[in-house]
Amino acid sequence: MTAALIIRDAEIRRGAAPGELGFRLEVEALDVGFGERLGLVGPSGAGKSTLLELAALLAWPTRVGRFDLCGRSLADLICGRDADGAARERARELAYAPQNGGLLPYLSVRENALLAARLARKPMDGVGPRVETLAARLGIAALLDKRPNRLSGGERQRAAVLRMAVAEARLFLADEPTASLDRANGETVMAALVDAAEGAGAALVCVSHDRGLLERFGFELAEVTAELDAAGTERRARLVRRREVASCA
Amino acid sequence: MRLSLIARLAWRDLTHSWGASLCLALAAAVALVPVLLLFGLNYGFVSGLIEDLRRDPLTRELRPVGQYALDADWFAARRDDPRVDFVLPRTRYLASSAEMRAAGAPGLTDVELIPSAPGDPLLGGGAAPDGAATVALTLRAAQAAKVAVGDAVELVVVRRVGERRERETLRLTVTGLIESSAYPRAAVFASSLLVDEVERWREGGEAPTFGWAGDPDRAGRRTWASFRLYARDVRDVPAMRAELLARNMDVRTEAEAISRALAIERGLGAVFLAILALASGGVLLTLGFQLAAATAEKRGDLAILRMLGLESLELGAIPMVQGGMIAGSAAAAAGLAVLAAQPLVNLRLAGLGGFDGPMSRLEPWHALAATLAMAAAGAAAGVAAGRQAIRAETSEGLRHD
Repeated sequence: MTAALIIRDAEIRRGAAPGELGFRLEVEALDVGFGERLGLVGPSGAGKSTLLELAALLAWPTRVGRFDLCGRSLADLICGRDADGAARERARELAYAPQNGGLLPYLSVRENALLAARLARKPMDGVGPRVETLAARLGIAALLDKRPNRLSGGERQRAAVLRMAVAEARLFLADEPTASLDRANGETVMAALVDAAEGAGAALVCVSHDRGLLERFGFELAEVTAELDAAGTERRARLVRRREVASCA
Repeated sequence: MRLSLIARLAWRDLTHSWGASLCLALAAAVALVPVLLLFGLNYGFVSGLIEDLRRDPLTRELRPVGQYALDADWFAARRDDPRVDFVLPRTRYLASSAEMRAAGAPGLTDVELIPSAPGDPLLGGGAAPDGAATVALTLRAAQAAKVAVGDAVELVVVRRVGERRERETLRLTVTGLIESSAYPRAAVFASSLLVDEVERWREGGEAPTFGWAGDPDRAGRRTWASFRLYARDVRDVPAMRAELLARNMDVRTEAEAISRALAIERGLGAVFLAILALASGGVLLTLGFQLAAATAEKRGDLAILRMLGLESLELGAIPMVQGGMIAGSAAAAAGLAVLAAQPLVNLRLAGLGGFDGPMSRLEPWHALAATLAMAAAGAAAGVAAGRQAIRAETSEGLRHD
């Protein structure tokens, strides 16, 4: 197994204004191998989403010791706050789904999926039929030409999974994909997500409150802990998950 | 920059919120209609008036009043003036009268003898009189003598030497006719050579070209009493007139009509520019604010595009492309509306102020140019919104619902 993501010694700070409760997330180590499923759990406000954004190159850390994405070191790119470089890396290697699914309201489900493939700069031949096949597996083939606002919450999340699957990413990051769904729908969406990541041979990192759900789908859990510092001015969150994974050449 | 992709996304976003987009485009179009209408009037009526004046050689003419003694240098200086289109020496008025008839016909018609040359504005593009062989007649002269182009005419000139009355006849071919609007009286337009020789002979000298005998000592003169002078551009006439007046040479011109038209052109031009600046400035300002507001509102959508891998410039281009689309389609709609309404406007205002051309003349290419210019300006109006889109925090946009 090779590493999809290796983060060492990263720190993100937010809300440093005087009088405001600051927030600091420290990641001592976060390693995820291809084919692995990692569930990020922890109390609300502990910084699980922030951690996912860090992994998705959507939030700039104040410090990072090492950041390897699919075997490529991006620490310099991140320290240089190269937003366009980050956008290119993200498009090539990552599939990210924010809590609401992150579908563009003015495109149909099919167009949302095709856009992701197009922006990932992947060859477009065969993508059309692949969207159909994946949509059929996700049970949303009949919804492909509908706009997101015509879909139910569960359908929207499955459409987001479809978009993640189409882009052929090697690292799937999903933020609370089942938070707004009932149990049955949550199971369906999680099954779809796991299936899509497995189909792509990708690593899957999922933030969720539902430990039981994560465990049922074979996720290893990593806990983000948070506590107020001694002075009471900052909430500090930490994550340690060091694993021996060989990095890909 | 994946411009076609950006344009498609920008367009889909606009059509998704089509109600707001349409309102904005319609409001802009309504503001642009009077600008284009005014442009049409400016181009039609005012430019038409100037064009009419320019086409009419009489408005470019500076007609001398009185007689002078102008030498070859004076004429050379006029010819070197870039504002001068045509200048020719002219004999004194009395020496320029003659009689004419169709070859072999009885009865004579009194005519003026007027010097002409290639480039004479009054010839209207017809052949210039050539040496002692051909002439152009005014319509009045041709009708009086009942001749047409290609016919032969006889020019009869007489002089009095002491008590004796002498008479010579020249046979010439008519090669051109001059419209009454250009010269209403009966006249023969002949080469300068012919007119000069006839004048010299009438004053007692000889006319060697025609073999007419006379006093050879009377050959040495070289001043002319008068001139024919035409400016290249009607706009130069008032200044040229002022210069001649400053040298005590009185000339008549259509100066009043010219300066009236020029004043209208200048005045309307300034009004047009002011209205253009105010109307399009207002449209672009409103558009810029609307785009910035929409960008703030759609920061979630823009964050999704950023998340999917759109680069900064591509992201910033979206509101700019939308600005271009809205402003461009507004200008296109306004242009089509004015083009459609123009025949009615022209019908309603036909013949106003004695002007017989179309009052409003917005050409399709004007509407196209306005569309392209407004599209570019609309894109510029989207620059602030574009910067805002680039600077927005992606993670914040993604969490915002």
